[in-house]
Amino acid sequence: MVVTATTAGASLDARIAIGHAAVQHVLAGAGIAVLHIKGPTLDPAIVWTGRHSTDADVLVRDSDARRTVEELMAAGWDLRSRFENSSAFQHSATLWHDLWGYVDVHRCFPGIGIDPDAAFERLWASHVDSEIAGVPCAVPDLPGQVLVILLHAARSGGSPRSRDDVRSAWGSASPQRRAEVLELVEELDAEVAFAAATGHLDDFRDTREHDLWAISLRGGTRFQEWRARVKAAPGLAAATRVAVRAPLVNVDHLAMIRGHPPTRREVVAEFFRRPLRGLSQSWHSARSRSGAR
Amino acid sequence: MSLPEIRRPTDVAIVPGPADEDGVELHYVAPLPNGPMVVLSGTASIIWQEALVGPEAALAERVAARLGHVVSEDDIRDEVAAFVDDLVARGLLERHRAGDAG
Repeated sequence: MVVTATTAGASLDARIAIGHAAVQHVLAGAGIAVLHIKGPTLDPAIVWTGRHSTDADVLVRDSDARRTVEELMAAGWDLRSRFENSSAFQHSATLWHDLWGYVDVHRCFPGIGIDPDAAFERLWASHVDSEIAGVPCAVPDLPGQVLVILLHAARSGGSPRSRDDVRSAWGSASPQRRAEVLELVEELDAEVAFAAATGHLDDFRDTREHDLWAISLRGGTRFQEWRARVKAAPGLAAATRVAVRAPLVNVDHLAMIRGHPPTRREVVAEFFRRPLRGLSQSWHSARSRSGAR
Repeated sequence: MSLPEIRRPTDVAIVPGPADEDGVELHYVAPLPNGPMVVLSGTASIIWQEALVGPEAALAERVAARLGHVVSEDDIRDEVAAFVDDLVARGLLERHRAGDAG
């Protein structure tokens, strides 16, 4: 028998599975409902052989999100990235555990258009009782799992991994399963993101979300992303918030890059550097389109 | 078959690992939420598995059988009992009476 305070020699899969179980243990103790998504929670029928994850992912009610992070931090996790700084969708917080690695706590799922708590309730209503690392955990049913994979693939820039995910989860799905997924897509108002994942985004060219998903799928400059986020925002107030916040420095990301909490001077330098990078990217993009070398 | 007397506590996670050349699966075991993680391999893994499937009184017999009777249950009884005591002390196993909750 080997007893170790580290996980040296243990597979990443094993650590992530125990990470799911550890999160479940903490949140169950706090009375917080949690759906375990992606990675080891996925039904083998919808994943390709050799698929591995690098972190644990869970979904909680938006209304439970802050308390979830607080409970995990109190139990030993380190907050590495806050919801506000996670992505253009501000959808997740990333925490680190010295033994189990990263966990992404999702408070909503990019691509789902209905209220996040209502979306959680819909996925929870049809959840399946599973087991991860010997601990009972709730996971979405098969249509829910397929949808989560597809929505994630839509944000993955058309990577080979995301193409494999789409092929396994949707490409080889039976007509019945596809019908179930499409029904869920409609219930969750996820048509545009679903179209982005399955190659039909141009069918939704006139929607406010189209440009943002096009950038998620195909990439774009920072200015293009800012414009797309403003356009995608549901209403003037939300659009204004996005426009004002867009140039702000992602302090959490800067800390991760530099390996230490950034100093005020570094934050200020990054504030001015970001708009310059955006301008530079747009200039190069314009020169590329004009054929200039 | 009488009820098991040893069980894995609900706050202990377990993940099977690869099998060794004798076909014995390795196990990663960890109290939740913060470990430490324990790696059980070989005979340790066999004792763990057999402890969970039958009465503790016959555990040495089951382990000896898994080892192909190259040793007798009498030969290993004390060591097996000491190992289970160690796992219980670490919180990785617990002893219970039939009818206990959980």
